[in-house]
Amino acid sequence: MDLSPLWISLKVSATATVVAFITGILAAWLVVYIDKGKIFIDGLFTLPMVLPPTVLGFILLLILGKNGAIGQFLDRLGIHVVFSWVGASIAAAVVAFPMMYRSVRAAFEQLDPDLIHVARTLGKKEGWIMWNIMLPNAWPGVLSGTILAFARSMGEFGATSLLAGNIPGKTRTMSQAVWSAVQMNNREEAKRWSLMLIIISFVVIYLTNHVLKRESSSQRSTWLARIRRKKSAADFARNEEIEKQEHS
Amino acid sequence: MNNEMQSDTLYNEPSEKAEVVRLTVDVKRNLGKFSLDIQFEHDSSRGILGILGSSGCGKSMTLKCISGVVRPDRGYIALGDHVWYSSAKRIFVKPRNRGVGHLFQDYALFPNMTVRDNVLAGMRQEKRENLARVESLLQSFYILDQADKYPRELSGGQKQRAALARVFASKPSILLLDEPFSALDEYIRYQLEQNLFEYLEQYDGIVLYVSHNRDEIRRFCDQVVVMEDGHAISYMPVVNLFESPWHFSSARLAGVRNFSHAEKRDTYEIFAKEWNTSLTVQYPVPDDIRLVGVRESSVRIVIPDGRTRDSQQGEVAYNVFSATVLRIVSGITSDTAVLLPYERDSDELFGKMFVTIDKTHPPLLVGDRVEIAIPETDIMCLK
Repeated sequence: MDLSPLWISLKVSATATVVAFITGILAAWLVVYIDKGKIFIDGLFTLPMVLPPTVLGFILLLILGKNGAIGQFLDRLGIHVVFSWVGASIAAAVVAFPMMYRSVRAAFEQLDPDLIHVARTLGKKEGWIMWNIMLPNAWPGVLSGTILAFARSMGEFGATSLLAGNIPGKTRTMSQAVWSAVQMNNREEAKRWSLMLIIISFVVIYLTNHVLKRESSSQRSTWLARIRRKKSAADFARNEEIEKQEHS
Repeated sequence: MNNEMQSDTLYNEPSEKAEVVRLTVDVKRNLGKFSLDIQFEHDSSRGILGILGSSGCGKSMTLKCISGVVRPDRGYIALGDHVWYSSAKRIFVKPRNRGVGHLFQDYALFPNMTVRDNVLAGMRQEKRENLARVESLLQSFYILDQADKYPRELSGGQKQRAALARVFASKPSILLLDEPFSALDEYIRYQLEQNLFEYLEQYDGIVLYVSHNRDEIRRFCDQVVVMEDGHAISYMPVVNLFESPWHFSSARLAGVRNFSHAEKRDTYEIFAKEWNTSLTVQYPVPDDIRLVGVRESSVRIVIPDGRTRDSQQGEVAYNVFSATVLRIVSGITSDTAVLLPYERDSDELFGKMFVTIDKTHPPLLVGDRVEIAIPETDIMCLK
């Protein structure tokens, strides 16, 4: 059995998740901060979630294809988006982006606004607040957004097909493998890939829920907190050491 | 306001002692139900300024406008020579450049950081030399033992001290305390109030203390701004609030419970409508008197049972009139008698008379007709 759809799917989903992770967090940060045009920008960012993937794929093809402005630019740099795994990743990232963006935004909005207020009065810059206050305290939302984004990229079919095609061993992902197998009337193979997708998706979601549940149920120290505490204590010991040396 | 300056003291710069700084506040902001429209001035020579008002009257919002985390619609805010906000000149200084120490109602400790890291986050620059200062702050706020704990592992009092240590770590140019005790249980307040008082005594900058609790304001503050529905209705020394509040809302916030509508009869005489009696007062009656107020503890009950009625005690003259006992409410150290001087037009706010009686007082029965005596000096003419 040719396992290439599994590896291609994982590669494409991982890339798309990383892209959606970064852009989703930045977009959520932007929308939380702006006052004017919030509803408009939010609508724009959520659009890929509700549009048919074929429409998205077609738009991407127009922008990134051989005749599109960005496509020509990338072509000159030697990056071929259409009919490549890069294109599949871009399509998956666009579809997965709203998942990340919406989860993170909801998590940011649920933070106690006074945490941000107090950080500002203590002289902290917005970047510091994002990195040290917003992200660490919104991490359950960030995590579930990431998982959803990953799961969504795994299942992506329409936009990917339009932009990257369905080339065996090159751009054929698992969901496309199911489609092709059904087209060829190869029921057995379709079943195998379907089962594989079901198992991967379920494991991912199960693990997320497990981690989130443990986090919310234990009011004492969590694994993250334990690591941080060790680090903090180690920092302190080291600093004391340095101080002693300075005094002597 | 040189909060970047390094020094060995925990609180402020030591050398130049107490140079008087003036805070000017004039803020307007729409709050939906009503609008905040408050003006006041205060300077560090006049002690701690309390802001007293019932919940939701805009006290916290006023502090947020001063620290800059909320932007007013219009107005002017300045501390000394530094204009922080001016809608006319289009000035808005970001909160991080104001150097305000703002203690939020539920302390807003960063949940993802230990106490030590929280205090370290209060330092303007997180450099290694600051660690020694963090240690001494933790020590002076008695939380060194808790330094490696997370906020959720702390008691209310420890959280408060951690938040205070963090505020002082930032060397604030002005200190804003928003209901510092509202998140705490009653029984631990006393000790914590003493501690806070000591810290505040060592701080020479301006301190604003927001509370809905008049006793806290009385204990902590020297001046008070009374707020109602987004407006400052008076600015005065705290003593005056409790002795001559002159405004109905201030009197209510100062704990006065007995009110009647009143009109001027003569220079020293008023007529109390719901009490249906005329009263003589010690000072000339203002022309715009609208109400009369009397504290529960100022009213004496005189039982007409032949015991001597000391209505003329020393120099103080008493106003004496009769009332019916409506009910007796038991308290812990004393009881409260609710009396009705006159049946018509009385309701819970105007007309009914609340009188504190001690536990050893001869028993009063509901329906008894008693005489009540109020010293001339204790009658407050209110607007």
